[in-house]
Amino acid sequence: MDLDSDIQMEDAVEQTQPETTGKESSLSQFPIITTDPTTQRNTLDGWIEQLSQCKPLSEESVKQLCAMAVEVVKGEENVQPVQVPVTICGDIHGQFHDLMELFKIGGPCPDTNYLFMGDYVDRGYYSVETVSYLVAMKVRYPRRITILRGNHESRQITQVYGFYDECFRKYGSANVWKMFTDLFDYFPITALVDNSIFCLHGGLSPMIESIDQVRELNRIQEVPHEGPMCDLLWSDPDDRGGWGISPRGAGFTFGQDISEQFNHTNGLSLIARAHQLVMEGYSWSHQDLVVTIFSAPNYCYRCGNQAAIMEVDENHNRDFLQYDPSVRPGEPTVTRKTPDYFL
Amino acid sequence: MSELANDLLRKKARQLDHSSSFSSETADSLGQLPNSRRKESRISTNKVPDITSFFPHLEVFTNNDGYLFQTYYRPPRQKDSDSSVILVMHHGAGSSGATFAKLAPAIEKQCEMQSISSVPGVFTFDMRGHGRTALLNSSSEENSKLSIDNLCDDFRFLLQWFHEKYFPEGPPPSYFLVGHSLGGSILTKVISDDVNNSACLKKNLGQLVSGLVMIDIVEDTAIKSLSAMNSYLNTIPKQFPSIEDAIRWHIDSNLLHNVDSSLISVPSLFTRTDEGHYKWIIDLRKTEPFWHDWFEGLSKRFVSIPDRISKLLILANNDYLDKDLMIGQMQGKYQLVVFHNNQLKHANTLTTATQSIPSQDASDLGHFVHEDIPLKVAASLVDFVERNDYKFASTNSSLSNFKSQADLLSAYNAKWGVSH
Repeated sequence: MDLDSDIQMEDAVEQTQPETTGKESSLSQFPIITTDPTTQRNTLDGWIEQLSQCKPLSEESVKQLCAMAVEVVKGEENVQPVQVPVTICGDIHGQFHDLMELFKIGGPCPDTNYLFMGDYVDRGYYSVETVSYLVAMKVRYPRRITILRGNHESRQITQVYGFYDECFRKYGSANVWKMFTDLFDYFPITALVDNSIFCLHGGLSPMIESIDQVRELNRIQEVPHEGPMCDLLWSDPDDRGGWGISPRGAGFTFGQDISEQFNHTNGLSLIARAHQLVMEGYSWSHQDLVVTIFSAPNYCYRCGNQAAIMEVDENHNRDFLQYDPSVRPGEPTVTRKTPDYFL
Repeated sequence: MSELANDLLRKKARQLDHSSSFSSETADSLGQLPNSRRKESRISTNKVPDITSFFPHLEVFTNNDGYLFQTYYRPPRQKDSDSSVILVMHHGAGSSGATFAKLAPAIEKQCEMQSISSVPGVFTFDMRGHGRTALLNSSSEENSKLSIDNLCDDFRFLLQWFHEKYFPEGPPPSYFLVGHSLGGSILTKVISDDVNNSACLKKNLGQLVSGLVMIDIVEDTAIKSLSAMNSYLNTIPKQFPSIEDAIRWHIDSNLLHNVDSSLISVPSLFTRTDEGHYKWIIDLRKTEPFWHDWFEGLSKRFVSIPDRISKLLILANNDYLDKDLMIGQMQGKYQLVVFHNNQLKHANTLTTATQSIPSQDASDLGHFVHEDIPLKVAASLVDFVERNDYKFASTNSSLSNFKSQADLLSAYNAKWGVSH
């Protein structure tokens, strides 16, 4: 497949070799993975090929994939450093075909470096294929793609908004849901592009004044209801100044004065975040100190919004690529149950 | 910073109580009927508590046209007089104020479980043409004037009447409006009209409204279900030989899932005929001319209400948001709580441990979610009030330096040297 280029192979080799040749890595409990990194690459490439056709992996393969992914992402930092050039993306929400469109617009991975800011699952019909694909790409090209955690990468949220049900429907049990949600606990929560662009799913926290304070958090846990880690995944910028109660019921709203202070304290040029649907796919706020990027076009097959991704080149020039929903055959129609919907 | 940390710890500790309270829901239910046996259980109305045990104050309000409204009031309990919160609840079409009978004490119980010293009061009523209100005005043509505009006028009148009767002087309360189904649509229109100055609440009462809650109502779903509503209404028995049979029918047809609640709510829907049968007080089929207007434009109105009034949407089972609600939710304009049959019971969400998946056949909640799981809905309401009413003395002050969200916010803003 054309997404795969041998030239970039060193990425996976570098990362996986020390672990698989080590005496007792946690991968050893899955006998199907041999210690031969070549075989592993082939396995991965096979999975990616299968997933790119929107065909879910077997439960056993997901189990292996998640075990491999834990090894890759648990070593990443709370504030994962990322180099330019990179293409920064927002919410995907199980819209697999639109994710494929994203890679067409932005260029195939690993030729293009990608940074995803969370919310891969829920609401769309292909959360399983979407998150499996992104995680497989992460394991295959660990330095070419960064996947952060969104507020939907959580056990509680996925039980309500679809990922849990989808796993149950496609695998007949919640095993795959458990494997993925256990993996989500290891995802990094923020990234820092060239010490200049702070990337995260939601926004700022009143308990976090410096990026170093993010580095001190223990992120390996379910997304809490309150506190700094919750805020980073839930907060929104607001026209009103200062800190405010978020209408969402979690996180805070933060005004331009807060963004100014945070960016100044930490020597940042920009906060890039996702989390909010914006009709043009991207939206500036706080006089260009904050940008919102949303990458799920026609969100949930009914919102009529465009999607966008943001390219940042070697010279830190920023370019937004907007796109509309992909045309795909046989899209499931949205069915509603109105059984005992009494007046 | 250490106070902030302490406050967080305290809140975490409360969360633990909070989540454990979730699993005690069934223990709270008088029924204590496992799903499998519920349908075979005997329904007895012998020991049903009187409505005054839920709402101690029963008053009849009379509007300018001489139309009488039955109202129900459970007063707030607070330590200091300047922090009272009143939840004003509006039932939906075909229901009655008694639908909130179990929710009112559940709110008090939630406050106790969370060591919240101020307990919000609950005020509700039987809307025009429904429940005791209909019986008080028997044979009046007014009973059938159920246009959305009339229903909004009724609410504006009732809120003003309530405010003047119970809070004639002294510090005014904060009002949180809670509407189920059509009630949610009426309250949304009242607030929307007040904000847009097209029809205002008297005496600036709109300024005292801090929050709006809609329970299980989505415009798109409501409008779509209207076409099936007549055939559905035609399947409903016209009368029952006894109240027990009426309750049984509500449970068996999966309209209600909590026998305990139905013992109080169902009797309020019926009146005894001369032949000794029980027939519905309201014939919903006659309200058809009003149906469309009841719901049209609801979602746009709801998401357009400014942030000054916090908004919460509680849904049962399905996350069936329409376009306007979906965009609003994804832009963070309101809080959404979906009660889901398959929800896992996480004792502690702060760890990475997951628990085994319960069986899939749980079906213990539906459209009347506040009757089905009153304690859980009460938990959402108490959290919502605590989060969004700045004056609400939310906690036992010996536990924390912060009495309310307002204190917490100003501490944060002071730390950052900014103002909100």
